[in-house]
Amino acid sequence: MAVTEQWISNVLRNRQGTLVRFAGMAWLLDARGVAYLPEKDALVVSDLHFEKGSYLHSKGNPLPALDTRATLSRLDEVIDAYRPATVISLGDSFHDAQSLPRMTTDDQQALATLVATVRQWYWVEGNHDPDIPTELPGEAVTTVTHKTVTFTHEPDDTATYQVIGHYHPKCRQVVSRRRYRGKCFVVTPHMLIMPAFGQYTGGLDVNDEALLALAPERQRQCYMLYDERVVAVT
Amino acid sequence: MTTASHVKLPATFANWFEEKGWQVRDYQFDMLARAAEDKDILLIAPTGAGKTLSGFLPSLLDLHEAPQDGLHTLYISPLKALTQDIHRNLLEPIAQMQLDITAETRTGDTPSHKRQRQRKKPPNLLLTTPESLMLMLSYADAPAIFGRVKRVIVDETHSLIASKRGDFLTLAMARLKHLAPAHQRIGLSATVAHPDSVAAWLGRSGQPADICHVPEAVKPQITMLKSDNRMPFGGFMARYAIDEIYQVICQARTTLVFVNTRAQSELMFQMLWEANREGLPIALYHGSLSKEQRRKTEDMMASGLLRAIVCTSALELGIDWGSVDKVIQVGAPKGVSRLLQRIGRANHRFDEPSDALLVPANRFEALECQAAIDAIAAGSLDGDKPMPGALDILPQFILNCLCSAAASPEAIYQQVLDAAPYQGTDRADFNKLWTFTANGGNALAAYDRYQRLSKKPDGTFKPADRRVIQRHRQNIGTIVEAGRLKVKRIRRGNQGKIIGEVEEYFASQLTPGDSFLFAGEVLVFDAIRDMQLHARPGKGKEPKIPSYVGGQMPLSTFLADGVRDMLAAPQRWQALPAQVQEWLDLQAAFSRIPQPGEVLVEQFPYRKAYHTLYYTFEGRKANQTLGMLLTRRMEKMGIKPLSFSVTDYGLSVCAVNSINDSQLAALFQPDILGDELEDWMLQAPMLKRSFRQVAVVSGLTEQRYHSSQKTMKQVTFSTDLIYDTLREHDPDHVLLAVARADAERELLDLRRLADLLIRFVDKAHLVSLKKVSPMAIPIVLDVRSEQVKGAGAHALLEQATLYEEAESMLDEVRAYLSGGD
Repeated sequence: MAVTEQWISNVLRNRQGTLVRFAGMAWLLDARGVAYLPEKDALVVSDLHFEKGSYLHSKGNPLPALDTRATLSRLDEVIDAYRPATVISLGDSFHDAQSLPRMTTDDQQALATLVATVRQWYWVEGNHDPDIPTELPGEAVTTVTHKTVTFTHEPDDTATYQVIGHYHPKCRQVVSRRRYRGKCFVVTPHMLIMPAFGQYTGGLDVNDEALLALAPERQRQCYMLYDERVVAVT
Repeated sequence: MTTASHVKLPATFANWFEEKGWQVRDYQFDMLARAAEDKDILLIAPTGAGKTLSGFLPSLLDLHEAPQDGLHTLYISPLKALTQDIHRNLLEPIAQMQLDITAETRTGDTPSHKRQRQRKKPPNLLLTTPESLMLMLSYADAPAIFGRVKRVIVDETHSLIASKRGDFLTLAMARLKHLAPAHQRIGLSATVAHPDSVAAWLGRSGQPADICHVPEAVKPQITMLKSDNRMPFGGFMARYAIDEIYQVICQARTTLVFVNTRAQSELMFQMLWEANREGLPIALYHGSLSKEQRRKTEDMMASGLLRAIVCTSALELGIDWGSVDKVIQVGAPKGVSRLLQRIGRANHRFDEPSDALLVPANRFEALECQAAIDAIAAGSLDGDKPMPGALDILPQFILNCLCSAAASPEAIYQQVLDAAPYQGTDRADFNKLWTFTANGGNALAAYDRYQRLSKKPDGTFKPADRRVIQRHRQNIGTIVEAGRLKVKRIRRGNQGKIIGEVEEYFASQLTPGDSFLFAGEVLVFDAIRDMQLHARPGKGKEPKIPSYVGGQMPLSTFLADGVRDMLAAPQRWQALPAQVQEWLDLQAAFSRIPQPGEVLVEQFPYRKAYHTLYYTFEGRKANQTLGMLLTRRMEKMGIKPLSFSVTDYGLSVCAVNSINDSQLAALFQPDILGDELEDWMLQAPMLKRSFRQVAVVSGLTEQRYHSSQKTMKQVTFSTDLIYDTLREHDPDHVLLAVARADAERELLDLRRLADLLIRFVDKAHLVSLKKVSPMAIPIVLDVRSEQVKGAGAHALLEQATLYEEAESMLDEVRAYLSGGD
């Protein structure tokens, strides 16, 4: 079923997501690491890094290459929950140029089927996947624009408002001397930075120099994903 | 010792002993005789008995009588520092007797040009560590280097029993036996609780080594500090006793001040310098300081320039500094054998008693100190028994063998069986680990083309390419350490010197301007650049102290029993310092003294949460498991547990809600072992922790980062993710089984826990208090707690305002939605 008010209300009550304002619009930040823009009925997901496991595998690392399967089943679950008109995969969807051919036939089919269920699927190019495999359904683009908002993998200096991926932000929250940590969304007046969705993706702390340059402490609000919940980091 | 009589030393040696004013001891003759009969020997002797020289004597004699080129004897030490020290001590007799024998060290610190030379032209005596030995065994020319090895000396053998590092060494020695079948083994060990099992561990192929036991000549003199200053109820720093410790240092010639953690050593060092009115040369030594710093301190100590060193276990093994006449142990001794080892550093002469002072940091620790003193007086020892070998080392070993030469699985399996801890290794388990080594044990057939091993026409296997070999060699070793960052002490610009390492976890907590204590001075954090932590000397209020998650001390459960017995016998309290007796009286009046036949449970509110303390005295492992299981059931009962922490004595659980008598009765039941164990085990943080270690040891993830990669964190990712993926998509993966076995081996003590739960059904005694009891303070202050996921954490993280804000935006979203149902 598609998104209803009732459904969002439930998500909020269970703390499985929260609504935030960015670029003058309301966005639902989901604890599973995706953002939903009701105004466009669009679901944003970033940094899937398909076949990262087998990539490292080919470098001599005996990693179990089950990450694509795990990422796909989680992605399938959120898309099934939202049934969005549009999906924007915000770059680094494929870990390297050979990712798609390396996938198992089952996974290739599952991915193609999933993409086909969505009316409009954008593959935004990222630094890991400047050439999106043409055999896949969906549209390969460098950016997607909605009103004043640009969806791009890496920051674009010319955009007024932008939604980006690339950085894999994560952060921590300390409450009563206990430390909780997780991946996070970072929201500034002009930028929404997405967490990485891929199964085998690490994170960069929001206080790392690279992220501070984009989202200084005073301008940012972080929303941490912890144990299937969204927590605003104070 | 009848065999000893027919051994006679050559004149060169006899004269040298005479010049030194030494006598060859009976046991040394005995060892020479047994060595001549090609027997493996385990020498058990107290420190100061000339153990190391005795170990080398047969080889020095061999090489004197029949000089040869190439490697004759390998000496293996668990500590890098020890190889340096032994090397120094070995060069002296070689020089003085003008023997034509070469001796060199080879560790991770050895420069590469020297390594190259050692491969081409190995010395007669090579002093090395288990990791460096394994690395050398991976070379294609390993048969040429090791083929003529006659003898292997394993120093501090007792410290290697029942550890992964020891397992690792037995595999390396099994490989060595394959290359040099005739080699003989000599183990040097401190006094141990189970000599037979150490002898079995050491011996070649199932035959235990002959034991040569030198009894303790004199018992050490150990006293506990009875301070006039007020001794704290909790805390671990012993600040109250600094002046007294300093006085002892002033009176002694040279003192070793042992503490239990690196963090404590930094603080103790700082406090001693504040008290150092006479400006005595006092140094600091721990494993995270740079090797130059450590080497400098070792050299100063060897030449008698220091009056005291504040140190951690990094200095507790074997280093022989004759001038040390006093050992101070600050904090709980943590185990009788460990304490004896430390005390043995003082007066490294065989027939004089060692002189030691115990300084408990809090009143509870005074109980443990007294229990240790009593145990030493009674001659009882604690010690681990050998365990079956850890399976995660096998992939490393398989690859290591194949890097040197192609081989069949059968051949490697036979070598594995030659290592004592692996005698019972199941062929099916071995095969699974072989498959894992070859292709990651992938369940998906599509990934079969990514083989790390390639099969040759003759049926043997070799690494698929050079990258596999390089990657393996970079990651050899079994000791898993948290990610480390080098600390650079900046003088100007970006110029400065590397002075040591801190854990990445600690570094990630710092913000620019924060000050912290390192290498004995206050540094101000600047930035992290290129995998280095840049900091400048400076001033700061309350500097932080780096903590080392990996550097925690394994504890012996033996003393926990001693403390329980002492508590049960008030007549023995008189031996304790007066302040400690008062404290026990206070505990009895305020709450209750734990009694035999019951488990005391105290509950009190503290910082907006309820703490319950279970005084089990069953040791850390059993308490850890109990903590996991209790919090699981508490979660189900709606008590909302937040975290728990364990000590040898008990378990402290922190929860949002309090418990009552009937809830306690329902919690403390043997059925938690059956009901909750399985499902909880699978998602417990501790299993993820052991998986993390298994992942590194088995070569699944890289321990070493390539410095060329800037955004390391995006490249590396937590092994928790791999764990979750495997659990969900390949639950039969061999590494999950290995992690589970590892957790049982290293973390859980199910047998002891089951016994406890059955014995104390309905005998848990709940005392509800308004605030923390005197006895609970040190346990509650021990902050290394394990967090519990679930309702408790959710309650803590709950943000009503965030929810209200979000809900207020619902209206504006409504217009865009597809309409309600």
